[in-house]
Amino acid sequence: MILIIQKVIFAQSVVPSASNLLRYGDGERIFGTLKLKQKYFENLTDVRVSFPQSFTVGFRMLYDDPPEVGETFRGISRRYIEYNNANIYLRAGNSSALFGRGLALNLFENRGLAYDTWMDGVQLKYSPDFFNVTLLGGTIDYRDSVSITRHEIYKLRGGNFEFQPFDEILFGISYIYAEGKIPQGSVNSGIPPKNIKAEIPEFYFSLNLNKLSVYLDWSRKWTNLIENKISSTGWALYGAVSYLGEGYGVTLDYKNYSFDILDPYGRDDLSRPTRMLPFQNPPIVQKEHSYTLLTRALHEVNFNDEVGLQLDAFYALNDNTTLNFNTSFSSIHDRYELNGFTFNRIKRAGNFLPSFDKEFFPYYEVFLEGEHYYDISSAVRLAAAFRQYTFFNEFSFDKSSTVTSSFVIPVQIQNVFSGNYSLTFQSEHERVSEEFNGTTDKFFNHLITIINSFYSNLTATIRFEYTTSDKDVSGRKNWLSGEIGYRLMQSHVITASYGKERGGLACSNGVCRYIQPFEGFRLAILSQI
Amino acid sequence: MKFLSLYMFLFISIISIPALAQDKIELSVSTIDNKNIEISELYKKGPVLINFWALWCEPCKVEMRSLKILYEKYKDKGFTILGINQDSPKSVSKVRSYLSSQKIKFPIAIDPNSQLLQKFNGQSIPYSLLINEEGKIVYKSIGYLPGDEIKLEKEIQKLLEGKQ
Repeated sequence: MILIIQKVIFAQSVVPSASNLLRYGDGERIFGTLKLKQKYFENLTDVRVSFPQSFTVGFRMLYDDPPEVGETFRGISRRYIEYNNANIYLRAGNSSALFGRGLALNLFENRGLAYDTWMDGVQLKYSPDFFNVTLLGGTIDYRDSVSITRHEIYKLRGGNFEFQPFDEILFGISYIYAEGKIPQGSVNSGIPPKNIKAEIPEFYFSLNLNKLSVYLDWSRKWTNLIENKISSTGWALYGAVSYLGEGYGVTLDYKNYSFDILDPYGRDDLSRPTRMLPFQNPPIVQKEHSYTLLTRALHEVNFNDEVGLQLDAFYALNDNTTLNFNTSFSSIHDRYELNGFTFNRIKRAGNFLPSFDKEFFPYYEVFLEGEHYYDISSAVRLAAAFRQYTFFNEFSFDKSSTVTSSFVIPVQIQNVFSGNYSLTFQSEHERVSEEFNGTTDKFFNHLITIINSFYSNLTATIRFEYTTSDKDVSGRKNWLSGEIGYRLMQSHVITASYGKERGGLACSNGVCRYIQPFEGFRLAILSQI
Repeated sequence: MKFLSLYMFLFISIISIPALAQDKIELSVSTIDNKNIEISELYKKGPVLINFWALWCEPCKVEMRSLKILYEKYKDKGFTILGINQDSPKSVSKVRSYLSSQKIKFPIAIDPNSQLLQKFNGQSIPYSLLINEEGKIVYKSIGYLPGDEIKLEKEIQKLLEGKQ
């Protein structure tokens, strides 16, 4: 029957393509002495069928029961029809979208973090030679990634106009109008949701010369709370300058996010309706790491009140050796003084730049990595990173603070012995210090990963992590796991693993979620056809 | 149970679809230098490798190095590479800087919301697709393992021999 269906499909020059991800896990989540059984089964099938005359129909079938993260779902979670011909792109159904660098609109999905702001609606794009016009309208049903039972519903209307008089210069204007329903308190609290209307205009400019590129993006947000007749205004500025030379490139990024500057009472209320809305997602202006211990975040970007800088440079010493240097620095804008039961905001002179003063929650990071290839894909990588975050307790009269510092040294050696066998050895050592009111807690984490690769198809991996910390949520000091991966034909990858995984705070695009420790068996089959 | 049965049917159907069942690739992309490229203009001249990659993806950068070597070796015979960067808006500014340091000369398009990756049903990167002069996908590779460049080079050579 399958063959008959396929024959019919191909005979009419209708071209199907699909991807499938099956994930299964059976094990335990461990919190100290508490062990909770966890089993999950997820099968996600994305199908696209291209028809003649530039039409495409697509859908996602999702079986997520029981889920690993998020909510149980069985059925069609996405569907769309798309027309794409010459200058016109029209899509009805579910879609993602991005205007500029996401200060006004960035609709995306990260399944690992249970974050999804895809829209259900219509999107039209007209792109002749010198300009692009995009119009969109639809609904976002957003589940909060921290508390996934919270549903926020937004009706969105918007547009974007980009004008490019020359290849080197681009001007962009966006406008978003949203009506939202934001739940208050916990799910069963009985507090009615807040209804809001928000307007977000955005202007951006891009200059791309041979060696120099400049990008500037500014956005403003008005939020009106309908029942309370209160309005709130915020804004954000993002800029980047890059300079390229022979064998090197330097980029300086700047952020000044002031979408909703509030005192500590307001700042800690994650359900407040005046904060940056979930369909906005500006650049984080921090390095996104690929070493495991560095991916565990010390600091979550606060898009409502944060100012910061990042400098990133690549420099090739020769054809085989490259250096990457990155440093970033951020803080909040102003400080607050406790006055009885309220706070007085003390504006900081020069608050368009970050401050190292502990009262401004400073975060900084310095990273240097050297990479040397001694063969086409045999290489040695050595890096060093220092990160420090200060949490200031504004509610205490003694001005106490917690300073967390982390120094990480990752080393990776990847050696190809022959076309049939290669070995990757990776070691990451982290020294952590937590200072609170004159007391210091010090510990270290060490992770070793060994990956054996056979015939470019089969991998066998062992991971071992060890800590001297007594405070890990799992109550453990070591984690050992093994993984086998096999690439079947050109389009399928099967991965099976067993053992203990540590978890930690994982962030992507400024969205963070705590990944819980897991002990057990996992299986994943990925097919991209 | 009914739903699960339907799922198994769909899953087996997908597995049994010929791995390279794709129509002629028609794609227009905007490069990192704000230039528009029609992919059909590229494959008319010879085989094209579409490679999805990102700065945060370490295997992508290892693969990128071998792709650069393959590009330099075969570009005069008509082979080209179109890199499609998957970095989100937060790090897209650094992409040009990285390319400059690595002296990568083939065109790089940006796809910060993975819309192009979804068009090719990609769920993970690196993801490479080799396209022949008729615009059809003849070779795919999910992920990168050392030695992949040897297989890829053989496929490129096959296409270039067929061209002569």
